Amino acid sequence: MRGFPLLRLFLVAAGLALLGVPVWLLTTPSPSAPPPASAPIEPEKMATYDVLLTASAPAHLAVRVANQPSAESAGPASSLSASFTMNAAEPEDLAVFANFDPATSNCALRVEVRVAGKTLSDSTFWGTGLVEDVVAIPNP
Amino acid sequence: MQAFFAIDLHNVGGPISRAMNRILIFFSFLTLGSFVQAGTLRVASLSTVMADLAREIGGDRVEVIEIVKAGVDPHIYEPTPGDRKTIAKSQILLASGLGFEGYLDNLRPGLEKNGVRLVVGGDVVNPIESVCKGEAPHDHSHSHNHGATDPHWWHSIPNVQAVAAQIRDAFAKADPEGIATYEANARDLNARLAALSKWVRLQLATLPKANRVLVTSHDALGYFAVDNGFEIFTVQGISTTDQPSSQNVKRLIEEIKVRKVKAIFAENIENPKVLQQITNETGAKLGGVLCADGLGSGPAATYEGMMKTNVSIIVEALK
Repeated sequence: MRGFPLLRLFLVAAGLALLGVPVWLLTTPSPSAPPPASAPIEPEKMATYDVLLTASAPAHLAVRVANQPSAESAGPASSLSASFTMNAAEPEDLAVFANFDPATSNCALRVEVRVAGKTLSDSTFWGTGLVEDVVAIPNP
Repeated sequence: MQAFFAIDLHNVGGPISRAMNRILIFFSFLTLGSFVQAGTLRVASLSTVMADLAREIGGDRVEVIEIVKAGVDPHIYEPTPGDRKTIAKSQILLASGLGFEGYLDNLRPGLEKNGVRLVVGGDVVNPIESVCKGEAPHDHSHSHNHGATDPHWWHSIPNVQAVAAQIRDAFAKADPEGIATYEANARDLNARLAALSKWVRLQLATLPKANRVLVTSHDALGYFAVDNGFEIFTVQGISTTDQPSSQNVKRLIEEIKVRKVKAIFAENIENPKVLQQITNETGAKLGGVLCADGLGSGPAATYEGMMKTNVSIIVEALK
């Protein structure tokens, strides 16, 4: 060994290279492509949702859906119907409002949602004055 | 006793005795005042949210001492000897639980020794597993002892209602004379929380479901996401002590681009540096600063204020 400096140099270099392998493995970024984004977004399947608001007494009625023009009664009314076209895979929630005469107690607002004549949801909200709530529409 | 003595003296008459009378009446009130002070329930809290609930329910009958204050990162907080003394002098200690206070087990022997009743919010809530998608697997061996369970239960209003009832019961047990007060205050709080829940739903109804993606610093808003139909992606894990990996940041950037996320959110106790870097690479804007690990300041200094502030920021940024 003492007589072969080139061999010694080779052995030292090989030893250093071996020691460097784990360090290199730990510090080098993975050459693979970035992981794909989860849950590919499905193309939208649109459906028309018919909404009927019925009030127990004349009230100012309104229904609002995200990203769509809201429907409102011109004045106090007993009912209001509106249609919204939405992604059937993930229909938006409906925000419903009925502003009753504050002197009238125990007022009720019924909200019925239909698709192609089939009732998807039927809820009633009670209160006095402003009755407001959110209706989540189940998938058809 | 002193009050009766003072009233008896009132009949004696004469200017000197009247002056003495007034002085005695004054001291009688002071004495009575000190009795009332001594009668208050001393409650220490390791949670800013539970401290707020305790103030609401306890009213004047309870003195609430916040050990962990708003703006302090509870993930890295450790009680000082002074804090331990304050806790030892209390009758009740409030804690979030579910591993949020990793030091809680170390406090328990002292609590038992000093007769301090421990009320752990996490014992009465519906726990969820960590729901975030962007988080890299992280080391659970750190000092804060989080399991896979998400300890940030206060971002779900039904959980807060359950904890409010738990605090009411604890106060009633420790101070039976105040039961009527605690029950009335808890009823009022419960009604306000129900109104808050409806307010949150009405605000979020204006947000398209496709936009309901929350990108935050660490995984603290899982309960809010589950309750309100959000997907959640985080830079860090469930604790602020978890370090973001470059792979995780890369994945997050891809996700933000694919989903065309409009805004990402910083937190009130976080350094938003990494989030700023992500906004630079994705074009998403920094939507605002959310209160994640407890209450904030200003309008967010109460639970109701915090929820309203968070929801308003989220809706405004993601609309």
